[in-house]
Amino acid sequence: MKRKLLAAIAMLFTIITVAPAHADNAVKLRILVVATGEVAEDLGLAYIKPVLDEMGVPYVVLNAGTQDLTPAFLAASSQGTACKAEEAGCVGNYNGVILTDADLVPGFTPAEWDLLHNYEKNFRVREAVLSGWPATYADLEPPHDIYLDYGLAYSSSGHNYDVRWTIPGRYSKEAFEYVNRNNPLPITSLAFATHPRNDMNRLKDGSIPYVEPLLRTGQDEALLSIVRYMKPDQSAPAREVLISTITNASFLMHSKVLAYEFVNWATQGVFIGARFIHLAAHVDDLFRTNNQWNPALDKENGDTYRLTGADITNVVSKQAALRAAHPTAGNFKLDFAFNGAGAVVNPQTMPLAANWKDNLVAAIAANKTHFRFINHTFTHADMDKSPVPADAPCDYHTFTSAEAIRAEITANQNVWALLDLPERNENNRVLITGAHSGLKDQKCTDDPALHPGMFNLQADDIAFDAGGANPLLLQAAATAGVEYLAADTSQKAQNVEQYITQYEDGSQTDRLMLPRWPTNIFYNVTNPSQLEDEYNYLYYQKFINAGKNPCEAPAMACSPRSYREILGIEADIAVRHMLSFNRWPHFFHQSNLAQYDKNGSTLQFDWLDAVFTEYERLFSLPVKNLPYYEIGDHTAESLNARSAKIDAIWNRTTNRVTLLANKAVPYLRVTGLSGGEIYGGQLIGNINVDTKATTYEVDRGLTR
Amino acid sequence: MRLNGILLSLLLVFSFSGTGGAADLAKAAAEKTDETARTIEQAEDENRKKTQQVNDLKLREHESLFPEQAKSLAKGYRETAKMIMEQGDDPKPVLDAAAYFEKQSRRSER
Ligand SMILES: [Zn+2]
Repeated sequence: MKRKLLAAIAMLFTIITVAPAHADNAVKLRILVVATGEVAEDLGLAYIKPVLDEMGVPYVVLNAGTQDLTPAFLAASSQGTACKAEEAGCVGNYNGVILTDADLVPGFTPAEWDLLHNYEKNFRVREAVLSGWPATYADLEPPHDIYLDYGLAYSSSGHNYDVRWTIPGRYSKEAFEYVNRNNPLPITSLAFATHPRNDMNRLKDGSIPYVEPLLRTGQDEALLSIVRYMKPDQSAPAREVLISTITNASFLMHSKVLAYEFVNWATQGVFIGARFIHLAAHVDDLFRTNNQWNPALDKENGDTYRLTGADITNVVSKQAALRAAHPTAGNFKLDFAFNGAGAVVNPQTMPLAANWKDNLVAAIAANKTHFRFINHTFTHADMDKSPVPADAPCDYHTFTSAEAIRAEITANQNVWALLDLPERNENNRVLITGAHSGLKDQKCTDDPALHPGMFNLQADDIAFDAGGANPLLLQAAATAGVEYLAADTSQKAQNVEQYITQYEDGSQTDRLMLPRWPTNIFYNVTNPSQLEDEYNYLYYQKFINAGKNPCEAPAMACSPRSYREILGIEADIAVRHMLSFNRWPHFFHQSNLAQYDKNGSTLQFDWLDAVFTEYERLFSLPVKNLPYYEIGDHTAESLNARSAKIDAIWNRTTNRVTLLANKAVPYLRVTGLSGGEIYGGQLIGNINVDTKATTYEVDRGLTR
Repeated sequence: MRLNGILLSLLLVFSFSGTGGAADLAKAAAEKTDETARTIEQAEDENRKKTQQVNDLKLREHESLFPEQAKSLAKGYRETAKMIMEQGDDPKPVLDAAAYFEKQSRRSER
């Protein structure tokens, strides 16, 4: 009792001496990333940079190889001179530090380590270490003071560990709140496994590193730990570090799982920006027929498939089963991108009339509330540029006027009205062209059968960023009120959320390109054996036939794969897309919803089930499944926020954040402020910020 | 999905044979089924990891900067090894890491 009281008094005394009443003890909401080099040289920087960018977190990179850390770089008064937290008007420049490498050798000197650590202590700022050697280094000169020590002793190295989560109770609401802690996490890159020393060795400032592992190997070694630097006279740690001794990179699954916490830990869960997990499945070509792959011929042979009314009722029950089986799936809905020409009595006869005798049309109308819909143009016409000269041979028909293209868009809007499908007004702003045409120039080569001499028909394409898009399409989209245009991430320069500024479309505003992920669930397959055959033809047999070694070609298969293996690989890839936090949908085709067995199995739901299963092994966060127009709205909001300069200062004394921007940002995502939505146990706000300062109370959600 | 099915049927086997007088037999059978379930689970985990490694590699091949980054990483570990030696410790794990990333850098460059 007495001891506790004394400790409390001592603590109070410390607080009083360190933080005089007039001090603000304030830090900017911004991360300092200390790197070993530029992105081209630093795997860790190449890993964390896109995470910060996608989340919209402001940061500054210090290249330890070429720049020196100075006191004024860390904290400066309004006059720009270096200052301490306890001085009035002194603002720390960062509320979190991320090191891409644990020892930063040889770029960082002992003096720079002291500066950084003193800043962390003075401003109570945490540090996260992405990777590297768990160093303990002492000055070479007597008295050989220790200036860097993670409190870890090396135990083993490897690139194949199955680790389990061992998050101590005190951090259960704070660290890795979003992971599924029940399953092992496979580590597939080089890692140094360690043992916490937890001895009494002191650093030069008198602190002792106290280590608590969060990820342990089967041998009880630590790969990821929280290190608290404790001083004997203080109950609160002098510094707190999250250190990973696992190599992390963008192309590693375990790195995707860990990424968020490096940011969240470093900032104490208070930062500009946010992350959500998204998944949307677009089923294109509703009301059309898709050609079918013939496994006996290794090509399409004229067979086609078009969904039936029975397929649609099956889909309704499969969708309900998916939601029931997967707690993170919420109210997941498929999005149908439809071509209305296939839903009317006669596409050539005006006015158009819905073909209610068609059982597919009737089933869609009867079940419309279970799905969402997107305009995929009336006939799925090709929107690519016309050949030059105009009468040159071309595999596809092209339009020569923006009006004709616009008619393709508006006719489909009319079918939307005829079928009385939901959310028509919202969706008038969105367009997916047939095969994403019009965004690159295929140079009239599209049909493999017509060009037997070409191994790759895309080799002659002119990409979006090389002038290949069709200005007539962009003009038509602009006049039809389309704001968001779908793109294919597998095509050059289309894997970026971007305003289309480089083409003249005759309007004051620019269309926003919304990328979509393709998958290897091909448009021309309805069942596993067909898919397996086409997959192995494209990724294996085609190369063998051409006398090439598929094993030496990037992304090809070294041996044929089974449907189960293909599904596993596809699910793993899709989960990585989800864990990159972007909102991009995956696109499929109506053939993939055909029932291929008596249980009503479909390729589409096999994929969805595999993806959710894999995702839920790793994560527990609810998955957002947004309508495409909302994906467009949120993308536009993010781009606007990213283009603004946001000043945010967290005053620790009042525990409030003051926000200010250099322009109007009506929707700024901020994590850790009161209000907003609860996601993964944290508060995520959507705040209106402009040139007039506003303040918000900090709420780190530690009780949720 | 399939795994859950197998586990569920194994549990059912256990609960039925667990009633009656053959308790020891049931216990032995249960231990055996536990073991089987564990083996199946381990095999599934291995498959999952293999899949993951296929994709790790596939995605790495698309990273044009990786060979350069791996080379820098190896160089960094060589510097760390020097530092560790100055500190009077064993640099072997770090030298091994340097060699590992040098190899990865060369393999990715082909
Ligand atoms: Zn289509």
